Amino acid sequence: MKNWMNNSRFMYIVMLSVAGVILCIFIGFNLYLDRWASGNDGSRTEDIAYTYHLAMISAVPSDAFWETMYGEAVRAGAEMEEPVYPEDFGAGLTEDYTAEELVRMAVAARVDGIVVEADMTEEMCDIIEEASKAHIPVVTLMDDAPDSPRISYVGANTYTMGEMYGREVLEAVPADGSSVAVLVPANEDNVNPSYVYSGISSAIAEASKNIDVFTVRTGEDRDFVSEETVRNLLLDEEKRPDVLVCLSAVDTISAYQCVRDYNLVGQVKIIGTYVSTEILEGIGNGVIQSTIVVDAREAGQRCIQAMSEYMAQRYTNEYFPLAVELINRDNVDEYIDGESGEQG
Amino acid sequence: MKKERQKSIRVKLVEIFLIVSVTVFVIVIFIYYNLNRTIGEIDTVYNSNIQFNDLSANVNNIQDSLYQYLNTKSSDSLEDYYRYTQDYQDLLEGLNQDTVSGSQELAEKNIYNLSQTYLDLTDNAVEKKRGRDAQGVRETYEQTEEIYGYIRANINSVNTSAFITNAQSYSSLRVVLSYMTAFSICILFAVMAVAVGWIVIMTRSITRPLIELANSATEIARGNMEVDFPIVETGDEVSAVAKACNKMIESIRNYIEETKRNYERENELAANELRMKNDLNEAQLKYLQAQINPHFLFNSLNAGAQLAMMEGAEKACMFIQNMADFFRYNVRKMEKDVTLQEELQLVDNYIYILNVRFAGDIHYTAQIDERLLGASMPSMILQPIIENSVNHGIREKEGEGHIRLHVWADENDICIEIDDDGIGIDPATARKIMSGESAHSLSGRDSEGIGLDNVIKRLRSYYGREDVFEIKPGEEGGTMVTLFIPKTGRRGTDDKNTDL
Repeated sequence: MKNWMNNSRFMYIVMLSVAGVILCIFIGFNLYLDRWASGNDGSRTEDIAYTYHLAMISAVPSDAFWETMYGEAVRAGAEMEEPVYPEDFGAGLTEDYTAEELVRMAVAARVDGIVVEADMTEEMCDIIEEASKAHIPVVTLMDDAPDSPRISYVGANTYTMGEMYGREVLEAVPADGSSVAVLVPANEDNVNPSYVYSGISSAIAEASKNIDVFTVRTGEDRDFVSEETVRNLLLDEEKRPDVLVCLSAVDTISAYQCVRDYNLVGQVKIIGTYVSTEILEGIGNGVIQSTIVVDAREAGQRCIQAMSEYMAQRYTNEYFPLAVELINRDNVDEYIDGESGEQG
Repeated sequence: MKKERQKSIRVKLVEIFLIVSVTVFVIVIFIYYNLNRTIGEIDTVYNSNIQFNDLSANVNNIQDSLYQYLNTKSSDSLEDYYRYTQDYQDLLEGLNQDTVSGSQELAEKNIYNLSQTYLDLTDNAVEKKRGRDAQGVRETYEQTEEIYGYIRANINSVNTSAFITNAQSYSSLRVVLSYMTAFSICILFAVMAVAVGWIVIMTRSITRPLIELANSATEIARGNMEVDFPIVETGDEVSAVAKACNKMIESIRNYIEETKRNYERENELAANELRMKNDLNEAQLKYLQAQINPHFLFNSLNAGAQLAMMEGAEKACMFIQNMADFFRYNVRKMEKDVTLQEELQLVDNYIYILNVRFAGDIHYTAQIDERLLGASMPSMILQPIIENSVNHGIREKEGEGHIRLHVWADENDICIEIDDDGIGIDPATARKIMSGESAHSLSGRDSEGIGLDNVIKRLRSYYGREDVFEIKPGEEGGTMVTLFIPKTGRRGTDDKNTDL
């Protein structure tokens, strides 16, 4: 019955197998440690060998538009013949820097190119010039500085956009004598005339209606100003506009939240910019009349395209226009379906 | 396999000890190595933070020494500045300088490039200080301060994020270490358990044959010689001992068997001798009963013979002389082996006496191969047969009788054939006599002689075989008795001295 016990060769095999299994476990553990260590050293093997290092600088880096645009730029950069890696410059810094400081930092950090989405102040123009002297090409996004030596501008035609807003305003205003507030996400130093505002004014003027249009700067000189400004505007019954035109996603969301919080639905109509979950929800339930969307993905792709072309040929188009789309209650479901389809 | 069979117990024990020791040793070494490695990894977790701290301290030193120099133009500060710059350059070489997607690596690249810009500016400031360009120095210094701030900010940020990552690594490594320690202890216990079990089984395989051997030895010591020592082919000394013991036990068994056989044979011989002596005693007794003091008779007959001689009666003298010889033979030879010649002489004497008694009615002829006369045989064999022929054959019939004696030899035996022309014997009686059933009754009628059964018994005992006597009806009537005496003489050398 216990023949196997008497078989010393069998027992040797059992003993050696046990030892072997244990040694295998230890060797496996060692390999695990090796992998762990190599992963931790940061010596991860890169799938893509990037040729160019691009600094993408935004005044509001947490903006939904910016995040989508940046994600697309990273993807597009990797697909280039000479791969470009766009860095969300300044996002990893613990201290807050203005867009101008970040551009200056990028110049000092000797990046291969800079994409900047910020108000084109004079200081910014100077810095772009400095970058140009340091042979660092700069692409402006959404807000142009035509007098600066930037190589290209990627953005929507703001005047056309203004006219679109104007038409939406005309649709929204109940009657003559209404007031329209345009929330401009810019500070007072912006060198550019507001073509959006011009577009709105022009569209309203064409309709020959007596509509009072005024602008409110929700400027970027301070944080958390947007919500405060919108609240102050809406709670002042005398100044309360009938239509709020928000030219940034942050302002749109703030306005939407304010209108709901103070039960002003129906009294104040919101025309927004760009999309986010809240904005789409607002359009769905009718609080936001419509929103005008600049295609963020296209923006990302164009930035990379402009930069790659310039790197390769030292020349690129001065202007890359972006498509503008109006989303209202009629086509919001379609838009949501399209977006989720693309993501899927 | 063959090699394994030749392993001695010592080799086996050393093998077990070595395998267990080496296995445990290797596993302990592995455990030690792995624990050490894990601890080593833990030690290096914060290396990147240390590196960034060094960078930060160094750039700080550069800025301080630059400020000191620009402020005082002290050569010590300049020396410090150059030293710190050199150190800083060395440290910068450890940073990533490629464009990669990892945020920390990219931050390192930015720090590297910012530092290069910064060092260019500081060098520029130093140059301007030497050129006594106070305005240029101030402007450049302001620029260096700005870049210095950027560098510090970048280093701090990357240091913070590295610290967060490293802290996570540290805590996960601590978990790994604690698991590793627990696992190692479990493994050690498991290995020890397996090793102890293995040793128990292996040593039992060595001692089990010994125990069985001891049990067998105890059984044998109790007297059970039928037990064999169990042979387990372990290939060691135990199986050698078991084999040797088995051989020893086999030898003892053979010896006992041989002794027993010898003892039985001796017993048989003794019994045989006793039986022969009994037969002889019986013959002697019968003879003595038949003879009234043969010595007296023999002496008397000798005196009678001398008297007859003196009186000139030759025939009487001859007769008495024959009588005297006959009785002398009986007296002298009864207990000794005799030669065939002596037996034939006795037969002659007897026939002569009978012929005197029965007035020459018995005609006796003998045809003898004289080369066989010296053959040894028991005494008183032929005379009882002749007596039997006369008493039961010839005397029963009318007229003269003939007795013929023929001695010859075949390949193995000396044959003595005695046939008569008496009334004969029926085959059934002959068979009974041969089997010894009716010999007594046959001879019982005549108490003067020794019965045929006695003759047959003595012959068989003397020669140790059955076919020594044959009685059958003669071819031409009468009875024919044939004796087959082996040429080799009496059976066995031990029997030579047996006194019959």
